[in-house]
Amino acid sequence: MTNRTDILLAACLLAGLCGPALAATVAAQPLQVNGDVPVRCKLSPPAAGTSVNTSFAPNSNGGDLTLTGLVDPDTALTRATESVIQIPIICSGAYSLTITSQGGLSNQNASAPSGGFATHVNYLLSANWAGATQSVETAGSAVTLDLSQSGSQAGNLSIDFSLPAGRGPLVAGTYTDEITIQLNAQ
Amino acid sequence: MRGANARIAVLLAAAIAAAAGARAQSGPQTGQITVTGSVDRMCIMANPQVNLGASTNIGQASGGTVTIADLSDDQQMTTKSTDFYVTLSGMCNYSHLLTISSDRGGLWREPAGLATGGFANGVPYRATVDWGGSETVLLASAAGEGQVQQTLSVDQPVVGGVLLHFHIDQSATNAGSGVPLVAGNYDDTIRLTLGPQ
Repeated sequence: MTNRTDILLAACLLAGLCGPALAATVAAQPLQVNGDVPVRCKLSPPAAGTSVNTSFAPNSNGGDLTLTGLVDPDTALTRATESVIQIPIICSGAYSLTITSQGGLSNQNASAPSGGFATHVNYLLSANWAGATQSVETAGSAVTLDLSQSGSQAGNLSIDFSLPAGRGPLVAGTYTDEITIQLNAQ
Repeated sequence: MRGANARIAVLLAAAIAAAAGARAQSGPQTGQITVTGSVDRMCIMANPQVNLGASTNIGQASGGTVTIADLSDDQQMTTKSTDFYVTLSGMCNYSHLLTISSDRGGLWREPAGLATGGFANGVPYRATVDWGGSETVLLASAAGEGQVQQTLSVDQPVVGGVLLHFHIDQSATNAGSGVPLVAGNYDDTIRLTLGPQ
């Protein structure tokens, strides 16, 4: 037994292989491999879906939704207007997703409403994502829809802009709002 | 045993001297000593040494653990190509078998069962081993979680390095090429064994 140990140690030393793996007949070594996939999110350029009295032009930063006939030219009351915009989204883990309106369509260049004409008109904003839908009607101040999720998801965020007919009458001018979609990996 | 062999030699000399004193011999006298030794069959293998210089997408290597820098591509969100090379100095003094195995059959998310639709949670890889002038390839295809192994029969003693090349294809996942990986930690353990056939 002593002799065998001597032989093993001698072979080990000669080969320069002495280490914790020293074994008489079988040698084994494990090698663990691991890698991490961080939570990543990607927001792709939007595309127009259903459209009534609107046109949508995507750009590198989102897009411009133009209401092609905001009011009835005979009454200055709003016309029924709708636009659905699809935005491909993918997140590999938990994320926050919010859609924020500044509060409705406002005529920034008009003075205070007068003579029964309005300078602001509210609309309906709805967002559908991952099987859930949230809706709100603007009311003059910023409002946010929150569609955050705790797990991975991929699909199209559907944003529905809807302006009912008969609101106003509106003062002449340009009416704008800004809808911000914010996606953050968590 | 060397000490024991030496004692045997002294006893033989004393016996010959005693015999000579008791009865003189005129002819040549001969004695024979048989010496026998044996060498056990043995294999040894040192700790893995990762060659970081030749590697791609490797964050760090420490002891028997290799950490991939970023398993997913930051733009496509699918698997990022990865390579690394490992050498394990070894020796077997008999015809033997090299076995390479994967505990999980791929790099799987830990825990594995959390992938949602449209995402992958497993990464296939290939481990190529060179030893004694022969080569074997372990395909850990991530087709299902479970051990896979490959063997290489070597009909001669070998001293040298067990050379392992680990490779992940760009975009390879268990859910198809280019599918994004769900976030999390992925791991597997590769085991190299030198032993009897």
